Amino acid sequence: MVGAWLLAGWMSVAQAAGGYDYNHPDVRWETLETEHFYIHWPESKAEKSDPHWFTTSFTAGQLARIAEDAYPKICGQFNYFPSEKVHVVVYDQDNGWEGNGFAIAEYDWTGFAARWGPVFRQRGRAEFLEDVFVHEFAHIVSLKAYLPWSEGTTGFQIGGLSEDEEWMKRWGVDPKPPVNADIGFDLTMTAHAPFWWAEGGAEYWSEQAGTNVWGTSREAFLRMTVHEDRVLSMEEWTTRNDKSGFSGERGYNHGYAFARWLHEHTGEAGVTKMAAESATRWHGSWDAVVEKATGQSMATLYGGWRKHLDAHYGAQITAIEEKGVVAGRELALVEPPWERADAEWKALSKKARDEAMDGRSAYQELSRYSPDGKMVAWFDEGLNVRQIRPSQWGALGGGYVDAEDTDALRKWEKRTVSEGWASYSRVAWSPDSQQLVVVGPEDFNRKSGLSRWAMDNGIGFNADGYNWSQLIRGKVTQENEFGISWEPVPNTLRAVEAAWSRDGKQIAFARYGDGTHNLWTVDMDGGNPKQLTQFDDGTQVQGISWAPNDSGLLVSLFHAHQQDLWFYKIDTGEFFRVTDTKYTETDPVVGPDELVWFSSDFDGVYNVYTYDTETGEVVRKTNLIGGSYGVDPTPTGDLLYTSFTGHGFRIQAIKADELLNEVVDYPGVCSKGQCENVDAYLAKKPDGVDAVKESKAYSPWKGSMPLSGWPVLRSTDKNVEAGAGFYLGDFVEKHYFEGEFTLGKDKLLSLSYWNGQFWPNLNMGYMRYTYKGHYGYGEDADGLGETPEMTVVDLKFEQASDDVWLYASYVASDALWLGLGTDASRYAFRDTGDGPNWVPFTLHAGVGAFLEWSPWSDYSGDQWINPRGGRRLYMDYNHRWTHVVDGEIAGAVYDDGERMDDYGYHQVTGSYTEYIPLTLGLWDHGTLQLDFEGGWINRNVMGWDEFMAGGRHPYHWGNGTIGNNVQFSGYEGYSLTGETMLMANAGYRFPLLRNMNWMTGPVYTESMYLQIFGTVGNLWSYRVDGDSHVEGYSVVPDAGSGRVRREVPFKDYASKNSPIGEPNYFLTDIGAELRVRSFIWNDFDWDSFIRVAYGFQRTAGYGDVNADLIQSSAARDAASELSGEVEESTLRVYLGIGTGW
Amino acid sequence: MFGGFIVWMLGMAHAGPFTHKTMQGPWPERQVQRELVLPKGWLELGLAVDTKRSDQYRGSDGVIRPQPPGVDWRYSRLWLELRQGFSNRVSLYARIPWVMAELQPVGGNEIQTLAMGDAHTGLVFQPWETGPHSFAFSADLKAPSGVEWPSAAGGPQQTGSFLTGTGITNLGLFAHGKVVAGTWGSASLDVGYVHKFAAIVGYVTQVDGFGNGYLNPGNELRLGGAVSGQIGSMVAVTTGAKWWSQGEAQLGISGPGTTSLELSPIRHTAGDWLDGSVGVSVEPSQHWEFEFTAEQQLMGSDTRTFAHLGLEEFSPQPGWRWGLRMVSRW
Repeated sequence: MVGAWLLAGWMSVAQAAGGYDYNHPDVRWETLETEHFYIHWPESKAEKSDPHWFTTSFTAGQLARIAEDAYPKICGQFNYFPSEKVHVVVYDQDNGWEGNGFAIAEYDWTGFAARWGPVFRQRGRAEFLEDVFVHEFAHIVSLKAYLPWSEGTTGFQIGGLSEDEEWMKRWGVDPKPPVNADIGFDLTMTAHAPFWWAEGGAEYWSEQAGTNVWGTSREAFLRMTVHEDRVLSMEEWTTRNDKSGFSGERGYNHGYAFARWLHEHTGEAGVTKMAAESATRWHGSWDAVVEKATGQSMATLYGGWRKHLDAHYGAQITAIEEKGVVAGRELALVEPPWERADAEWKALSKKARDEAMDGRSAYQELSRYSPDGKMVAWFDEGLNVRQIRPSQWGALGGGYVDAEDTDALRKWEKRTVSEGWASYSRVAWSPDSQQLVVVGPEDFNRKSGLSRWAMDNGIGFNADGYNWSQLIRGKVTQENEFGISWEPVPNTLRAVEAAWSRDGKQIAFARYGDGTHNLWTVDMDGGNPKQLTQFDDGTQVQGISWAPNDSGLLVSLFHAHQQDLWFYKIDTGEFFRVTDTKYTETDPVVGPDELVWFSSDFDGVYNVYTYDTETGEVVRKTNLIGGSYGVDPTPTGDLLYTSFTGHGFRIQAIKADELLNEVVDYPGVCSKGQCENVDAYLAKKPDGVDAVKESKAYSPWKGSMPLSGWPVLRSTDKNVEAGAGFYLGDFVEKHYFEGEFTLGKDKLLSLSYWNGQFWPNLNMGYMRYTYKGHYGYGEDADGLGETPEMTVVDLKFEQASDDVWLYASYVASDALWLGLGTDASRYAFRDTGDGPNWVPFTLHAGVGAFLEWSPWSDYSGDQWINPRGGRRLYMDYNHRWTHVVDGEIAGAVYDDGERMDDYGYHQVTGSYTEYIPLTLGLWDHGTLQLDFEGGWINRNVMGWDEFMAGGRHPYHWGNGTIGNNVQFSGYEGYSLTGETMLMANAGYRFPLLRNMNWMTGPVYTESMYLQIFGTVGNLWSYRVDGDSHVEGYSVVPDAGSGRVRREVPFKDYASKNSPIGEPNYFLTDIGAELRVRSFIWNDFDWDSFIRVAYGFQRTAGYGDVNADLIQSSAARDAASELSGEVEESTLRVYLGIGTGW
Repeated sequence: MFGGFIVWMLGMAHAGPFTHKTMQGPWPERQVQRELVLPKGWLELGLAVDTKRSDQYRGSDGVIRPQPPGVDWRYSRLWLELRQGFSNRVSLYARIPWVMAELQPVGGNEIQTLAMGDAHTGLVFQPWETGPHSFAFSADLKAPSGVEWPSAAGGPQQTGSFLTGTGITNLGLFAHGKVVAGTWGSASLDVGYVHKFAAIVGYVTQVDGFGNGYLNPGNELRLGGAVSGQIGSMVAVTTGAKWWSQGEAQLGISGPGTTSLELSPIRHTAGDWLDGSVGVSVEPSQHWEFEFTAEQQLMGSDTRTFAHLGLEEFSPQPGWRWGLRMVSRW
């Protein structure tokens, strides 16, 4: 059990190096040092010809320049100039970081993707490096400047657990009927700032530094949010963690807008002043900080800002409407009720309407109709390809399907292919419409049904740590029903977008490398790859389309801080500029009408335009309130585009005859001679440092994070313990050291080291735990159990355990985790008479392996309060040894009639959980959860080595337990033991309240769920059969006429937990649990629960069975050394405030 | 080896994980100017040793008497100390002792015990940032982390080892004041109360039985004061005194039934003590401090009751205590 505990504890914090699940030991890290920064950047150790070779030297050199430029501009705003250097870590070894960064101010650490992501859709421009780096650096400085506490300890934790109140019987407290209560709490006290201030502030400060801009996309985002009445409330915008859909981006957007408005409204940088005010002392409420900094209450300011939004965007919308809105309807089989806007829709609550509009995803985007107009591909929870003509969409004049018409919906389902693996990047159709190319993963295998299932469920083995993107070609099949067979296109690693030539022979694609895109072509079978462009300067290519005669490629090119339309002529390798404007032109495509269709913010809103290459005429086709990108003109002349709405990106469609045809005087059209020198422009390169020349090999010591700690004060077992956890690691995460000590009646010292230098993650550690306990020994004169004549003798003792372990683990796929390792433990005791000397009791050691398969993420279903739609399998095997060494008992113990001194055994455990979405009646978002847990030990072992079961409080295990943690919670913790364990648990969980948005002091409560559950099963052991006699304190079989035998599950009752005359063939319990999901101090999980469970059977066992801290001297019967005590069927109450469940 | 440790510590104070950060509060150059809390963001790691040698005891009248010739009691501690400036107003600390208790009895072999003692953790809270004078409250939690197991039951004749902890949890609450006179001097005053929680302890055993019993030690009142003078920027000299009064202890065992517990007073366990001390602090840089102290028990009460167990907290033997403390901070 000890081994399993260590393994579980270790697993919960396992980690890998360099920002990924894989350590990538084939990557070399370099450090570029500047006056105020260390920039740690990776480069492949492989030969440049290796397909996985990469470097980030350009990105590092750019960051060095950007960072030093930003230092005075950001620090000056706060008058806070850190003397400590900030460490910037560049991530590019694999997919997963694109467009993202993070900052941890107290560690002086910001992590940063080399690969620019799709953030520009929401934020408005592709200037990733400057915008996002300065944003992250603004976090570093602002979160240092605001901190009232030391950066070494930004918080502390107070917790406590009171278990098994039966010990209170010692003091005369004896409730009737008997109730067993375990009550715990866990409170994190920390410095804090709300979501809107931290993220919106960083946006604002980076604008003040001259990098970020409040652009067209941000304006559209907020305009549509106001238009659809989705502005976050004063409570909602404090917390980030519960936000889904567009609400996460809204926190950034609103905070930024509020900061700008406050500046304009008050004439000073109000959000910046809040940092200094916060630093004076710890504040329980950020509203108090706001009031001190601005002289106005948060409610007043928020109200003023909301009025401003209504007026500002109301005027914008009115102006657009006065010109006549030309916009599409959402592409949907069933008519969106918000477009129908009938009485039934209006009768719904706002919360219900918002949830309906949000749907399952905020990202429905990037449609592409096939050239023959028979199929459309788009992204919505993955790639979807549907056989449907434009005219069949309700939005384009066709009919909608009745939401109740399941037959019709099923027919459409059969004509739709959905694939979850595809990246959100515009697909490319072959000219014959029989094939398409999408961007997918490198680890791709869908050749058979089994391989499809394995890939979709994370069964795979990523041996090299790389799962880059590549092009995947799909062939439309029509054998029995509509389908697509997929296969990778070789030589296309790190492809980001593709276009199929008109002659069907070639695929052009943009390939990513070191923060830069280049154009390539490849034959459709992957042969003959050719690099067309040689950018090495951060240029981004977006929106690729072949010219009608295949002479070249139309692209949107972001270069030298500007995004315009360009034409690349293939035979000469020359670029020709199409537009030269301060506006952003995106997603160009040569339409069936041979016009160039694109989106531009020329008039302050991203509208759709066409450009005639012959005449240079530009025509506006839409007049939108929100905005557009992903322009997709259909062969029928209709238009699809991705629209900004308040509830997400949505594909909208406009009939051809409803399109606007307004010729506009579009500036910077090159065919009209309005463009500057192309060659000089393309030759522009951003200033930067030569990272290759200036860098040195990364040093984990110089790259060490500042030592930090987290004080802890907790009460367990009627004891107070004080101590701290402490952490030290390096920024590239090759080495990480973590320790904890607590001092009290009990003492804990835990030291753990992780190494990420090799393919597997290694973890080794040592833990020493000493425990002082005492129990009453009930001298029972009449032998009848706890009767009043009992005399209690108190005995105190001290127990020590020393554990060491070494484990290696490997993340085989997103859902599969493997590991093996070894551990050893020593137990010792001392009490009166031993002096300072420990008396060794047992030695244990084991080697083992585990496997966890969990195609379920924290963010599926309703996140961790209600996981649904997934499963988890865990299995481990251990071979273990136990050696009893206590000389006082002659180096042996008796257990279940057998003498044990030195033995080895095999131990196998497994658990399986299925989260089945199941809506019953009113309970939408319900989940039926089934858990099966089993274990087998191949021989009789001493009690400490047996499996143990019974209810437990999560305070012992911390937050974040994903299981329902209710198996046999109707029984005393650790009261059920045996060498065979079989349990099945079923629970049904449903929401009582969701999206609550309740703010109570520092606690933001998001949702509340009720769960009912029941468990059946048992733990079986070994027993003495036949004649027996007593040896010492133990009952053993007589030679010849008695024996020790294994109990057979269900056929035998579990003799160990069965009171006399009450055979427990199996045990059952039922219960209910109320879960409350909350956050404290804005974004710290603070989940609470109350669980009530009832075990239907009375149980027996060893020692203090009824947990009243008095061990009866009376034995259960003459045939065993079990206690005469019985644990009555008891209502067990578990309450956890902030402990998780 | 000790020299090697110093070199390693010097290296630490200037390398990656221990770099000075801007958020750290200013470090007052002179010892006498220091407030009662550590400036925000500073972390102190200290190593201290103190040792006391005694060949005397105090009887029930509090008068010092010599031990029999040849008896020699030595009580030494090595302290690992951690102190952190949690904020401008709050410091946290932990002090973990390892105790070496040695007794040379009359005629017999020396009895020696080395083990961890009772650790202290706590916080100091300074409500106002007034400067240069300061006022603070503190809470100190003493955990029963030491050895509370005698090597045998019985009286002094059965002593085979010593206890390094009382088995009792103490919670102390204190008020501290410090006034600063320019750059050359300061004076401080401390007053406090220590509550000791009754518990079953390993060194109280049933007579004619095998069980353990309860001890309810007397609580303490404490009063202390010190005056410091600064000599140059590196050296400060301090002299002070502390008085404490300890209440009467009680013990007992569980009796018939499950809820009975009767405690009886232990004679001569209440008393008053007064210690005087002098010390010199040398600070070659803000990252290093060395402190030498000498302390003498000036007045006391009966020191016999817990003497054979080596429990100095309950029965502090008379004698000089010499101390050396080395602190590294960054």
